[in-house]
Amino acid sequence: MGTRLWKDPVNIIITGVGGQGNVLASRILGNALTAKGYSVTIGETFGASQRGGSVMSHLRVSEKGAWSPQIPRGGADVVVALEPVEALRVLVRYGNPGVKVVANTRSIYPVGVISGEQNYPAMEDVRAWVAELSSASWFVDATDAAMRLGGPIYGNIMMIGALAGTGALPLDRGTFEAVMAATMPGPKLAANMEAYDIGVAMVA
Amino acid sequence: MHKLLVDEPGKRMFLLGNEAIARGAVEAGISCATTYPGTPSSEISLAFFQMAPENGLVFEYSVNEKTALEVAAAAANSGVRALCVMKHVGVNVAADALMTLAYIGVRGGLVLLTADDPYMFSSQNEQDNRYYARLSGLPMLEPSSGDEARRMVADAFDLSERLGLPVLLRTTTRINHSTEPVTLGEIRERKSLGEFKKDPFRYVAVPAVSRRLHTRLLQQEALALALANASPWNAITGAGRFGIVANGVSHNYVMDALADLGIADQCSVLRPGFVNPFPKDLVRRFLSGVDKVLVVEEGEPFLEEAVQAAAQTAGFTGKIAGKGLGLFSREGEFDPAMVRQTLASYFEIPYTRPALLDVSDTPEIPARPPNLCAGCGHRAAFYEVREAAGPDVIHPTDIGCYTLGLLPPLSAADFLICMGSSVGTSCGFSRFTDRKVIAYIGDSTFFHSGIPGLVNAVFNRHNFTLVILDNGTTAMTGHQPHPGVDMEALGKTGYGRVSIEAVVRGVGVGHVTVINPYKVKKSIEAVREAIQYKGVSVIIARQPCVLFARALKAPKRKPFRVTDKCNNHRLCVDRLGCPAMVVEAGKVRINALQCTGCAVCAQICPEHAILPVEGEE
Repeated sequence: MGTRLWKDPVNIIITGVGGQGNVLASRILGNALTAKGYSVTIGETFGASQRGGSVMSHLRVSEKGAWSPQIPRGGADVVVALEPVEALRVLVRYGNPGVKVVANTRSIYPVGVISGEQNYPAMEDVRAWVAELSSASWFVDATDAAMRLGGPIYGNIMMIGALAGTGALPLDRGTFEAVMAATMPGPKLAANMEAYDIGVAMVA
Repeated sequence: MHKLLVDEPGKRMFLLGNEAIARGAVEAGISCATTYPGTPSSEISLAFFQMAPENGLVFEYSVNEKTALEVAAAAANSGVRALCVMKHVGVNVAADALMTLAYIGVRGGLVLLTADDPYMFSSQNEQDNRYYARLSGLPMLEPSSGDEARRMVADAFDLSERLGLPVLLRTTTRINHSTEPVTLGEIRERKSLGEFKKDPFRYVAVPAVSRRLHTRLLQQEALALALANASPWNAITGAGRFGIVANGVSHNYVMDALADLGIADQCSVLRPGFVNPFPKDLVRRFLSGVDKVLVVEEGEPFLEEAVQAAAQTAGFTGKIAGKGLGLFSREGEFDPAMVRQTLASYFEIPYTRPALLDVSDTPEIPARPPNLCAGCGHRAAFYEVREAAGPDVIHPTDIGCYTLGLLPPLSAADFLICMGSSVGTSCGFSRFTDRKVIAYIGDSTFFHSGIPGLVNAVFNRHNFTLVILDNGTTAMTGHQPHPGVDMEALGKTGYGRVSIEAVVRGVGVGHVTVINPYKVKKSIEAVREAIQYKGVSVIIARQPCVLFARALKAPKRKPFRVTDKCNNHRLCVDRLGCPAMVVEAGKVRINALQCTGCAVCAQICPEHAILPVEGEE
């Protein structure tokens, strides 16, 4: 068993837009926490929403045993948002005064915004609201950095790195690398570890 | 080696519920697996599709659920074990086969997995398929976790062989799509070939035979009831006076709530995992130890009514509540916080809700419904039909990604009930309204259940245009093959191929055109001609799914950009609603990351202001 959890279970929500790699990100994080000896349950609801709708993965991390695959309303401890307004959407339903948020700054506009029927809030407003609705929040330019590294998919690894960097979860580089190494060849691993390190540095 | 074939009993793996179910079937030594893809069941079959070439399992993506069950029924009656996988509404399609297969029974084990979808994350209804068990008289098991589902699958096969009946295994989305540690069990040996022993007075369901078979089914049901009463899947935990009955994922919410409230020692919890025939004797015993009962189940009051019936015969006079008293809804899925709150108030446990956020002054968050992908050929086809036919048209639609054409600006969906309904309902709408009818159906759905409707339309001389959106895959459920797919191009051998065009012509459709929806002008002309035709006309709009093409690493097209020639007509944004387009500071911009280079927007721009990005590869 790794470090003692500050709460049991720790409830993590990874949210984003269908197609961003939410499911994969939750798997990687779940594998890393499992490798640390915690009991992890992930609840997902993929399907139609994968076509550009709002998506969510619930991770419940415990030292004791399995929890149900759904986090109760108001019960999130950590929110990782691959898209900024999705952080707000999750906070409204699952937030509480103690919640911590790590959010990507790159917006993806919903169809109603593209067609001009709805407004997408300004980024400074999103930051302010998230800050007000959480005990701590970090905004990182993961997509931009990921593009420089070779593709938007690295953004999700950066977000996990950023999450580790905040200290909100007992994640460490060594475990993460071991978990990633089990599923990918060397060169790809190196790029992913670089993404992880960039993520850690983003919240330092 | 496929990860689910690892022969290391006791090994712990972090698996999706659906992967755990597939593993359970491998451990049970199944020889045959059949399915029609449907969320939330699809990953079970994906595992079989991936592993079949390696371990000799006979797996097929059947044309629809009825055929899938018939294939499995023959396999099981040849003495091998067969698993048939489908979503809840798929059982409606298979129900004709199921109801009489219950009479005929099986020799080798047959398990039908029904994946129900409370809240309808990806479904057209949230029917509770536990009633199929009651309707058919077949045993039903229901797990509360992925690992339990794995163990239950093997047990379901034993049960099926013991009773000579198909067994239903019911899951819900939260079980199918949860990932948790699973402990691998032993893999049983598998028969590769069975044997069918002729016995027409046993296997041919003519009235004289069926009368006897019905008697047999009722006898087997009585045996099943005895097994249910003694089944380890029907567990009672705790010995307190507060009685709770909870099934499936609701049982987990209850256990979470008891831990949160610290009242586990005051409760007795019955978790029925063998739910049909309903274990009445066990429930009577359970009732004798409690004062009042709360039934926690998503969907319909299936357990609640059965518990009430058992209570009546047991003389239990305590309160039994659930949906009947309005504590729980028959709609949607449960939120664990709501379950905790309801439990606390029903048993009068002092409980303070955790502090919630004050979100009263949070701004309006723009809704984010799912949308067709950037570059999706369906969007182009919808645009072209609208341009050719105008808005005063009825669009019966069908089940697949293209149902997402519902929202403006595409507005390409007016009526939908089930798989294949686009064609059948078009027959009705064209006869009973004076509006033009142009229906949409996907390629896989056309094979699944669109063909009989089309035959009907030709025979009864109906008058409409059917647009078959052929993207070369079953896209919505995760890119499974269907009979029209060129499997050799995907590197898979051992498949035939059915031409949609040949089928359509073969059933006698008088006007058939194939279009490439990326060619806007030509396509609009083709639609104009088709809708002038008196009778049934078909347009096959063929363009590979962009997501699937990306997964197959097909060559990329150059993305497009909006040049200075843009005069802000905004037809691109207003008529297509492509997620690659953004309006920023009053100007249209194309997000090069999302743009797939389909060039449809470039063709509709009146200023020809949209051009490929230069320079890059």
